[in-house]
Amino acid sequence: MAKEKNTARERMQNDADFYDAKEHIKIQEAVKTIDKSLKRTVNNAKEKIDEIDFPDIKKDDKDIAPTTIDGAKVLSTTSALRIIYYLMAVNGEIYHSEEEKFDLIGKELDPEFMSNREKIVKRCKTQMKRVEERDDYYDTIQRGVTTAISLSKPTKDSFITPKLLVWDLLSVAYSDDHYDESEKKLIRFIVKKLNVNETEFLEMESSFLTLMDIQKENDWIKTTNRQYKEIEKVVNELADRKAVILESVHDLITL
Amino acid sequence: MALPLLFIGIAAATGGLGIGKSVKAGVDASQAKKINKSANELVEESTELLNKQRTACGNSLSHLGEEKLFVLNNSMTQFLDTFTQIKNVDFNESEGLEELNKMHIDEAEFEELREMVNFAGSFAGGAAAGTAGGALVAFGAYGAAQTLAVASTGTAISALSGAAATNATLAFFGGGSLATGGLGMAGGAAVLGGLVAGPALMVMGFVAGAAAKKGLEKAQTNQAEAIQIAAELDAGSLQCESIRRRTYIFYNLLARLDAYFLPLVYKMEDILKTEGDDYKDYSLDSKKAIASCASLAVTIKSVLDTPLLTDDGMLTDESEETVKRIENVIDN
Repeated sequence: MAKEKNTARERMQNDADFYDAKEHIKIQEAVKTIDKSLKRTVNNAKEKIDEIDFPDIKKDDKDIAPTTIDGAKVLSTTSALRIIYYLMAVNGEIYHSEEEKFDLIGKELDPEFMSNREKIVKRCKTQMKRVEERDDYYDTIQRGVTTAISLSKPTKDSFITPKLLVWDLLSVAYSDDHYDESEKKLIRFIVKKLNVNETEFLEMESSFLTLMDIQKENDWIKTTNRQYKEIEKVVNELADRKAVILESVHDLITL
Repeated sequence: MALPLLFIGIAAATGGLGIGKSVKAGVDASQAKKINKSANELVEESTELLNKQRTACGNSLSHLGEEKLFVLNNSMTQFLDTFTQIKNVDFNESEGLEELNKMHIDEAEFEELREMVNFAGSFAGGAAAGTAGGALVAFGAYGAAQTLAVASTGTAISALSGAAATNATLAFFGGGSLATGGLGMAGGAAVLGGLVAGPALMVMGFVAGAAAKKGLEKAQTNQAEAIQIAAELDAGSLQCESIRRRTYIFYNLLARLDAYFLPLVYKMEDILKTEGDDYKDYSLDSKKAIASCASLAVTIKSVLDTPLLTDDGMLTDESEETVKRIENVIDN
């Protein structure tokens, strides 16, 4: 009897275990389904969020960067990088040299750039897709720039001075040796929008033109039939001139 | 400045006990200390900025001086050496080169260029010997002809170094730090057209402290003085910035002109080797190349000739006009 009791108990226990196991599996499957669905929902939401222009997250008041420097608007690095991407895209084609420059500037401005890059690019591409509906590519890009500027919330640790941004824009525009009209137009728009001093911008532009002429001279002199010892002095001088011009731009931006 | 209410309250309550006066004095001393501290900070900040701007401006003038020397000692020397070997150069009578008829190249310009080149040769020797620090600033700031005139009475380097030492503006840009009193003879003198006035240059000694001026009223006087001094220093900073920026515009113009000039000089050397030394026998393309090269030489000379600063350290109108004219030449 006792044995039967035990057996019955064991069976009940087994049944219970079986029941539990069955329930457990069911629950697990349900959880998995919910989990998948939740992940899908979250991913969808993330994608949607990426498509929406939210302002940069504002931290504590003490983390907020100055809003202007010499009357020109300070931007968050995220907004700055989006603006740079828009400039790269404004002539309809993004060159490899431009992307290289973009990555270089990005790494310099944001230590987390490589993990943020995709998000920044995606936001810009979403904006650029809107061109099909409106059929005006330049205006669409310019609207993206305006949004990036207006939503910028620079913090103490992640901001860029307006003049430095303008210099970065010029370096991207010149990186493919084609500083075309649409790029010029967009940079001038940004200069005006950020309230950067017009003459300072022209001086930066002139410095870039000079650097390009020096580079051309440097390339040319190395192809001449003169012996290297004859041209060495000039090659060294051209390197010095580049350094001086960069020093002048540094002074223009920082002093 | 209004006293904090808390302290006014304390003063009123303790007045009857005969200690109100000492409390008031304590509050005043505390206020005075704060005012003096902020006055000192204000002057320190402005002094620091002026020192930075002054150094950066001096560097820019020195860079321009070096660049001028390099152009004279290299591409311009090569140009003159080659150009003077070519016979029968006549841009006015070149068939098919009607556009060149508009060129007015005066022979005297080439004479002056030769003098500049000779001068630069002697200058470079001095610079290499490390004696021409202030002289480079002078060469950057003033026109080549003007510098040449200064140097004509003696050895170029010693004359220029002398000019740098006796000219208040040059001493200001080429001397030591304001804080260490490295202003030389310019100390107390007005430089940069009076924008950095004597008293402002003496602010190294400005210390508004309790020991110097104890009372609140005196602290307020200190503050007013500090505001005025800071304004003068800031005006000087702004002037330094304007000079530095104009100097770099010149630097860029000269670099760009030289970038177009040197290839033409090399071409002219090749023409001389392959087509001989008689201009009349040259092909149309070669004649064009020679004319363009000579024209650029004259344009470069005008940049070298233009003084950036007046004797009292103000930017010249002439330099502004030269920038406009040369930018127009480069753009076209």
